[in-house]
Amino acid sequence: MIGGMLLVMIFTFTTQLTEAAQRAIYTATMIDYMDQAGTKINALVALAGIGVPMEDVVMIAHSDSLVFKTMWSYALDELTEDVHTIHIKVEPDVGDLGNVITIKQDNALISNPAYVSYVDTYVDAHKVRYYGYILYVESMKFKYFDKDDAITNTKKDIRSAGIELGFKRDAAGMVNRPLRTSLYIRCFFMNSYMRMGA
Amino acid sequence: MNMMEMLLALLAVVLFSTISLTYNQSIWRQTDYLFNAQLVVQSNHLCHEVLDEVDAKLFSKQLDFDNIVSTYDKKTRSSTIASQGETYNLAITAAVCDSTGIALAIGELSLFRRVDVSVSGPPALKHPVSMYRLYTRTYM
Repeated sequence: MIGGMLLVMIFTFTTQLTEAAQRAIYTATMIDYMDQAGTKINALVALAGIGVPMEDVVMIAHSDSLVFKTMWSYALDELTEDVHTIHIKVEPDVGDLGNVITIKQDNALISNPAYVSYVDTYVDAHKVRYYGYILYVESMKFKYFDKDDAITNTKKDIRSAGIELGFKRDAAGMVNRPLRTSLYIRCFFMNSYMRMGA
Repeated sequence: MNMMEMLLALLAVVLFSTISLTYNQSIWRQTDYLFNAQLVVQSNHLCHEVLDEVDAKLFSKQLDFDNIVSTYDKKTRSSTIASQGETYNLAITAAVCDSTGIALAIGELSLFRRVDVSVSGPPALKHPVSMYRLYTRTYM
């Protein structure tokens, strides 16, 4: 009887240990991924508005998407002579990956297959950040602030954005018990601030 | 059941209980670490928010370099993040400092200012997260 109890206990513990370990690994990965996603979006917004009058930088300022102009090319990681339009938007459910934030430059995903071979080479040579997709997203909510940190929806007055990112991922073998993490970041349109002081 | 068997059964119960308690304690500790890690990441971004704000307002000349200390020293803020259900307390200090960030006595002239941000609040955050940035006067 004691042997039987021991066996049952060992099986139960092994199952629980596997589950706990998987959740821990997935959660740790998610926290790291969430930090990288926040840093990526912050870096993206920091280069908004280069070469563009500050009143014209923000084109669309919705609670789930942001479109702005800049002369910085994220695809090439360099300043260009053309003004580019950058879209940050949540795309609806694409299956196991949940919702996806897409980052487009002039309506082309920055990691669009057309760019890939070029970008792969470029990444190695120039340490270009991959933009394009942010996966495992449950929600993304923008709110916008003016130069005095008051909430505004007037595009020409926007100087910074607060972004709440929610992430969700199914842990291995536990589809009904998704892991959730969230992060709030505040991104400043530094070039607009510089123009204010010019 | 003789005495030896009863003793063995008792030892088995003690062994199982010990394993069970140890296991549960490890799981709780692991969960604590993960909660803490998530809060550290958030706290880190809140520190950046304040330090970036100083940068932005210096760029726009809304904030004069000489007023960094008077504007930011010994200030507190509170940031509630609804999606996490957590409230973070930010303690900000600012000082005149030398090029290595060491604070100077009041009244000493320097081209450098230091702003420190310390974030605490959520019970699961084991230690406050602190960050500082040096600001340099770039025009004379």
